[in-house]
Amino acid sequence: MTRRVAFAIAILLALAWSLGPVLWQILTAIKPDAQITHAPLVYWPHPPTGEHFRAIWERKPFGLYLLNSTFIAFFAALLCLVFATPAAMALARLLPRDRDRVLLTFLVLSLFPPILLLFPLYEAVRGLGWINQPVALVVPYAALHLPLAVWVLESGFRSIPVSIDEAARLDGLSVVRRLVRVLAPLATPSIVTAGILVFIFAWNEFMLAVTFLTRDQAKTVTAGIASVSGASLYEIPWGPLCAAITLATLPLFVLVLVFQRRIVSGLTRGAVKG
Amino acid sequence: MIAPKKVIWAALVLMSTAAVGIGCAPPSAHGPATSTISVLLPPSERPFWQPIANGFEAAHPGTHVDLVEGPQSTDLRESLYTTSLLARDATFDLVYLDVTWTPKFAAAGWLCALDDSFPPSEREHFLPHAWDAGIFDGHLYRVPVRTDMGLLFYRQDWLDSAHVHPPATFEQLAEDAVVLGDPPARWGYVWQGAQYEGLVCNYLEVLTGYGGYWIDPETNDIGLEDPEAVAAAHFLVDATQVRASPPGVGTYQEEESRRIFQDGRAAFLRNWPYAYRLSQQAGSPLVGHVGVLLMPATDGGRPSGTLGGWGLGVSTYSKNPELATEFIRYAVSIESQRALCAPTGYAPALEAAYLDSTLLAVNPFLTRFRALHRHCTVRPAIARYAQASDILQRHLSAALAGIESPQMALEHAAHETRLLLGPRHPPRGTAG
Amino acid sequence: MNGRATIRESWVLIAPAFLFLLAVIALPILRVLWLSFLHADLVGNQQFSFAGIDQYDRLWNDARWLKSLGNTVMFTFSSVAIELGLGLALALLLHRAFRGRGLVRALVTLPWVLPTAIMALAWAWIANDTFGVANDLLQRLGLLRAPVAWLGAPATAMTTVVLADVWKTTPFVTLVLLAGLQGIPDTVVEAARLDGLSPWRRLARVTLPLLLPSVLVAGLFRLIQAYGAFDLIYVMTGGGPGGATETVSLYAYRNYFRYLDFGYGSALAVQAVVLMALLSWAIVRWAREPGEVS
Repeated sequence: MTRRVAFAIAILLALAWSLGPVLWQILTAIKPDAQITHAPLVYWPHPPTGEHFRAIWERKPFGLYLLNSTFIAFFAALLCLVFATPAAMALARLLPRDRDRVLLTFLVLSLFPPILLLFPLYEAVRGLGWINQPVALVVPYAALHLPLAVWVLESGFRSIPVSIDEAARLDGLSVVRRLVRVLAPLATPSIVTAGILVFIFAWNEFMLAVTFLTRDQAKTVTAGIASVSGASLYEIPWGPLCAAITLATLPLFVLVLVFQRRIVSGLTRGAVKG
Repeated sequence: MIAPKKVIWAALVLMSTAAVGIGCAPPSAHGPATSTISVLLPPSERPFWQPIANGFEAAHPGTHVDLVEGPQSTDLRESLYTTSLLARDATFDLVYLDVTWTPKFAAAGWLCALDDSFPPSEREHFLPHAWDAGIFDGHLYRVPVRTDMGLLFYRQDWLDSAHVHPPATFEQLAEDAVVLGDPPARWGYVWQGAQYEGLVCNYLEVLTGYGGYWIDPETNDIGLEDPEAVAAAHFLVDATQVRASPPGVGTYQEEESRRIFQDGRAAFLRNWPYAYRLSQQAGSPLVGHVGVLLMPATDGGRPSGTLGGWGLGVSTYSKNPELATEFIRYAVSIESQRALCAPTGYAPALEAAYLDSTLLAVNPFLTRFRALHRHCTVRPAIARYAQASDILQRHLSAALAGIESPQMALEHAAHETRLLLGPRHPPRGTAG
Repeated sequence: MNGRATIRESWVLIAPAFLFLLAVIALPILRVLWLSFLHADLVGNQQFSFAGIDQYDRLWNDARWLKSLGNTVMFTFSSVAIELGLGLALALLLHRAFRGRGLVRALVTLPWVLPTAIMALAWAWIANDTFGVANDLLQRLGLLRAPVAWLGAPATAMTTVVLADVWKTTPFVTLVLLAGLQGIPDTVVEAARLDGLSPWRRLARVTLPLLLPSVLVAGLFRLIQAYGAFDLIYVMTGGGPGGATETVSLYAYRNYFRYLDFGYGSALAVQAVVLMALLSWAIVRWAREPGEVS
């Protein structure tokens, strides 16, 4: 019996640890200013207020930030899948020796710290006139997460029996046809999973976003919010900031809850490659 | 969870349309005939610029002034300007420049020379040091809007009851601080020692007081190893050791130090005029009790305060440079100076503003400030100021933390600065 | 199926992805490598002149570079060590079947899914010295007597930053280890239980050794990611106080966008990556000892 209790406590601790910091932002976001800077610390707002949400919505084009983030993340995921799906399909059917080498190359390319790529990409974006354009982020994001997408998709394609491939080939279908008509539909769960993962990582990206987007209306959520911090901690409006943090994390929270099984299984499957 | 193909296609089409829609959205929603100029401002100032912007728009129909609110942190705003200007991007037409930014921004080619619109004859309309801060390589790149200067504030009432005169030398300041202080309830001398630009400002005043110098911009000569510089560093480091300054002073910026003084727990405060203004507001327990001085000096030096302040420059990548220059002209008119400085207590850069009855009524301290402004000391106007400042900050901070001795700290700082700036050379413009 | 024609077809399908990666990753790497051999300082030498290995010589004499390297190593190893332990604990916890496991797993994954830069702000608020909940809770629990300025002092700033990173990325380790646990056949564990081994013994003697490959994979990935960490530290401390949390990524970024010294920034970035590659290679070699599954 005590083992059950201990286990339950452990689970609760794990949840408190994982969710606590986020919950604290939400609590602060609905707390009136006087209670935020009250000593001793006030935990529960009484009464809760929506003034900070109103403040942040009015002072910054938050709706635009959310729209930009979603737009860029979506198209980055799409572009990524366009390149990753054929590659993954081909890799799934390749000889193990070749496959591992190619996968390893992709993997190594994805491990470079972004700071290495930042400046040359900045120069390229500047030269192409892409500053403040969504495409400035869509293209790099698609490329940076391509290896991850290929890993996730490759295991999805590998689970499709070779006989289906063969049958289609014997039916005279070209490679592209085979991919589009036969294999892709069967691998849809993996495709969706890979798409969601790329979407999430693209949504969260900061370094490129904060460097390539200078106009407020063009900014993503990360670039827009994270440049709000002040020099001295006295100068930061914590109420509206926590409201902004809440709004920024809410979409992802929802995404995780809705797609929980996909995300977890996609990552674990991708992670089994080791 | 597998959606029918049709739904996916529909979603894609919808998003693509939205994409095209967003991509084509014009940045200016004010009609085709509107010219827009924009500038990035700190949130604390932005509301006070709005009447100026409105006035300009009224005087120039068909224009719009976009006051973009940036972060409060100076460094973060500099970073935002940098990523935009480095990208040759036209997002900001005007650049709201700190005194120390002008050399770097001008050397990088980001600012238009304003000599045509603001010839040297204009200098006499502004506080001379404020004007000079906008000059780089013989050209004007920044017109000053408001100016600032580091000052020493003290509790007149405490000095009076202890029968102590306001200090004129560092020895006297040190003595007074120890006598009047009663740690930890009361501190003698509170200042900014955190590792940031403010530390450099504090140090520079003490350095000038001892008669030393940091960098000679004409020759790249570095004075950090001279005895005056070491003495100056010792003064600040010893302040903590003899308990004249609180041990946390190495983490203080303006607000932390000001609050200690405002709470009546410090005898001397080195800070900017805004601290004085806040201490004299109605309801403050310090009303009428605060005296103002320049930082003291020794025989070889002079009393001084570090020059600060903000001004406007025009971006080389602006699509409306003439309009932007017009706005600068408008922003330094007496009416605009009044609009900005009366509600905020900022010190204007325009000479005429110091004779303006409205401003003087609201902020009588301005007269005193104007008299003291002559004595300001300036940070070196070199393009690589950011690095030089970071080097000095780091080593001074290490000295304060006791990691390095002041002597070693300055030697290292001098060495690194020499590597940064290259060898010293004769002043440009002299033969040989 | 494995005939030549299929392989050629395969390469046609892989080529676009490969070329795309080449353009967006490989070419920039070549460019940054080139820049590192130049004097390229926007406010100094306007000319981009060839410097040979001057920039590398310069950085190895740069105390600030060495400090940032030290900070990076400290941050990376502390983070990864804690994450491996915590991740393992969580993975073991979530491996058992219980009602609501799917939801709990998803919720435990949440920190990893949230934007790092934004959660960095959240953590700065939690660690606030005057109004932060961390100080309050620790004082209430009796673990602290007075509030600590977490981000105000060098040692505590590093601790706070490491903690924030652990919170953020432990779910990744958890998921990798969970997959590893799922890969261990039940029969093996059952056999150990039947042999009379206590749960702890089973864990130590049977589960962990079989889990080692996953641990190494998770560890190596995390090592590389933590080494290049930027978002968290930039937003939380900006590298301060006093450069105590300035990592190599941050120092390079400063050189690019504050000092406008592109040549030096590039050299810093390249040097950092080279060191990381050497470290990774060394770890992989060490892990590939005879008897280890790689």
